[in-house]
Amino acid sequence: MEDLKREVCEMILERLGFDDLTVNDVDFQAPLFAAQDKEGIGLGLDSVDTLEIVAGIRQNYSIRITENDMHIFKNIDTIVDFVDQKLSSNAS
Amino acid sequence: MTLSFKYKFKPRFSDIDRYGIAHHSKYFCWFEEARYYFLESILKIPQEELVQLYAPITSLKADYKKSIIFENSYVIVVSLSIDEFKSFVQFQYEIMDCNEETIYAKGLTEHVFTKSNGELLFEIPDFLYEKIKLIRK
Repeated sequence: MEDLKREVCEMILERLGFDDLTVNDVDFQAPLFAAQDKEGIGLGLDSVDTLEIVAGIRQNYSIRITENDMHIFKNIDTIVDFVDQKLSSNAS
Repeated sequence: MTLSFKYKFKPRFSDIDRYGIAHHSKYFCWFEEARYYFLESILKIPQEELVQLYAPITSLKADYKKSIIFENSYVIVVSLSIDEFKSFVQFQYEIMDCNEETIYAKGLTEHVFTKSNGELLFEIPDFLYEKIKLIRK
């Protein structure tokens, strides 16, 4: 799970062009859409950024995310949980 | 997957500013004209379907290379790029003279797809893929 977490996070950083960040800099429970404030609480993403994440997950894991799955975009942990569940159910 | 086509236009009197050249804002109108021409005439999307296709622009850009003047006609070479691992499409534009020897401007627009209520679609609509595949055959 830790490997998957790092992998998903790396994909997100790469696709969204966060060149100055590494996985170690990211709080996996930080809200995706909250603005990046002085304390650096949120990741400051917007809805168009989610499209990049959706496309990245489709490309890397062959998992389709639909508009009904919008609830997974709370933080990186919730995205990873979703990917993990889908991979497990596809494997079984 | 990329699909290219050409759209001819001639500037109108009202496109020209007090310097005697096309105003920079007009280029985006010509890009839009070319895009709609593509959707209607090349992809053959009927008007009634076209008005239900919500593809707002999320990014646009223009590089101005040479001034466009009233007297001449021009051609826009438009390329539509569509990638199954992207949730948006990209149009690239090159405005050229009719002999396609000189580039006057280059531009691009990126479009996502939404429902009529503004809700984002996570994938490019299937029918668009199908239409493009059909044309490329």
